[in-house]
Amino acid sequence: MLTGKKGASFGTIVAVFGSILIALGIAWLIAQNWHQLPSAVKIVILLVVTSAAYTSGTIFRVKGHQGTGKSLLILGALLYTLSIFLIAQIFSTSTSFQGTAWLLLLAWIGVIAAAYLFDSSASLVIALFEFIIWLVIQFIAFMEAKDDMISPGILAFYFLTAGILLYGLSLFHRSKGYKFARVYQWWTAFYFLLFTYILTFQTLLPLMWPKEAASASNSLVFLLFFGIAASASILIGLVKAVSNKSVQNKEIFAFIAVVVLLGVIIGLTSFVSEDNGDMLSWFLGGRGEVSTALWAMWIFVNITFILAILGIIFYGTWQKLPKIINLGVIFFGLDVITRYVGFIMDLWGYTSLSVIFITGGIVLLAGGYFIEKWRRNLITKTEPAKKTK
Amino acid sequence: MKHYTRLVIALSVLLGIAGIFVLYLSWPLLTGKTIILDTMPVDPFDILRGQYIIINYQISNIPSVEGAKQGDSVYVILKEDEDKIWRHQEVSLSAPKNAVFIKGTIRSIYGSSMRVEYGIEQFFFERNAQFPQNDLTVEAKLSSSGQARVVQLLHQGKPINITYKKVELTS
Repeated sequence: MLTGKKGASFGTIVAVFGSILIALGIAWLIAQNWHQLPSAVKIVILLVVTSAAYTSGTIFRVKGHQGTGKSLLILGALLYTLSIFLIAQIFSTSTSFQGTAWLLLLAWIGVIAAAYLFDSSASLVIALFEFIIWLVIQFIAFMEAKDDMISPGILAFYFLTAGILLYGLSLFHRSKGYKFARVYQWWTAFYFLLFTYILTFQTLLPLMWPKEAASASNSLVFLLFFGIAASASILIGLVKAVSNKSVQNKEIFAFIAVVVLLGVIIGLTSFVSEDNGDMLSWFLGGRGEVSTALWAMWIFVNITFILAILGIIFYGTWQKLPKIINLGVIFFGLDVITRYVGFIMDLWGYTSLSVIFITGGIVLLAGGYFIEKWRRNLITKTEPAKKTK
Repeated sequence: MKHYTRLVIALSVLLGIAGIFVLYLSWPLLTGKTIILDTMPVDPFDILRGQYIIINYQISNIPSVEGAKQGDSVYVILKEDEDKIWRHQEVSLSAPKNAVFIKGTIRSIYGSSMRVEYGIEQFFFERNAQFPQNDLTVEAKLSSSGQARVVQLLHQGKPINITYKKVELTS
């Protein structure tokens, strides 16, 4: 085991800034002379700098300077990603979305491999962040290849599948008692909340399955393979976690219920879809009467979102995970602000703005106070259990 | 020692990925046949990779071929003219034998013509690059499988002279 202090001390923060400054200095030096350097020299510089960041990060960790080591590993992950993009620049590779998606794929695969080899949660977070961007860019690349709109509902299924994949990985890591389980748990919760939050916008619901969307064969084949990977992940994770009792049945049932509910919501949005021709005017607010079906759908999704937030907060409290509780509370605050802004936009011109602002201000002030108080209470509940460990 | 072993493995994986990527991109440049293509460029900016020009080739818009559809790979047989420019001669949906050809992907089909991309539609510069905008051709290398890579831009048949506007610090 590695030794040394955990957490972000002042020295660690200074070390992170130092790493970033060095990287910026090198980047600036290269940028100033980039066109004068032969391609081979440019590539060697990029790879040497990346290797140097990882090597120094390892040395610092071995010597017991965990914080400094961690910051250098983060720097290594970022420099590796940057190297992939700069190598692509050197060879003038395609700037299409598909070209960018390939680069992101190379980036997150490398970073996730490094995260496991260096046992670095921070690197895993960077890899998962790149993974989300890759997923979205890949979907846009499918649209680019068709030169037409593909139903965003398929992208919604990508996110749902990604959530399943991550939960499977979280279960697998929990069964092994590995620390990455916490990172995967957090990202599963984040995926599901972000995904449901996006669906809570009334304007977006009719755009999920546009009536004249292009055939989406490539994107569906991708979804199929992604689905197979997610199924394998959840099956292996479940078998391992159940066999060594690192997960309770009610958690599994709750997860299945959430996945089914979200899948049903995505499917149901097809009943409120719009024609392609009307989509732009719809998005720009030029729509007429909102149908009863759309109202019902919107209310249903919003109730689901609130339930999802409460479910996540309950899960965080039950599992004694302050980061999951914080995530749920942040989304709750985001929901309050979003709906408030939505009401202002809807009621604009009908009611005195000053009344809306004053009322809304009081609601937000009081809401902010009570949400923070609630969050602190929940976090406090997790603390005594920690001390007994 | 365990940590240093992991470091060596991690660096091998990362440098391996980067190395294979570089080799894949370099292969046509190292082994390919040199061709010159005529262009019609425009210049945008990429937030991740900087200033570049989009190169629209004369072989980007060519007559369609029967049975071709959007997303298909096509093999465009090229022939050199008296100005040493390689131009479209024939299109095929399968790789031809005993001919110089470039592999592309059909982006769109309009009536009897189609738009094809070859993966060499961009060329990067550092910021503030200044260069002639007209009479440009591209020197490229073609691998035996029809993969193309840009070698350099040519202006009136000679390597382009790129100058860089001096940057003045204002803060």
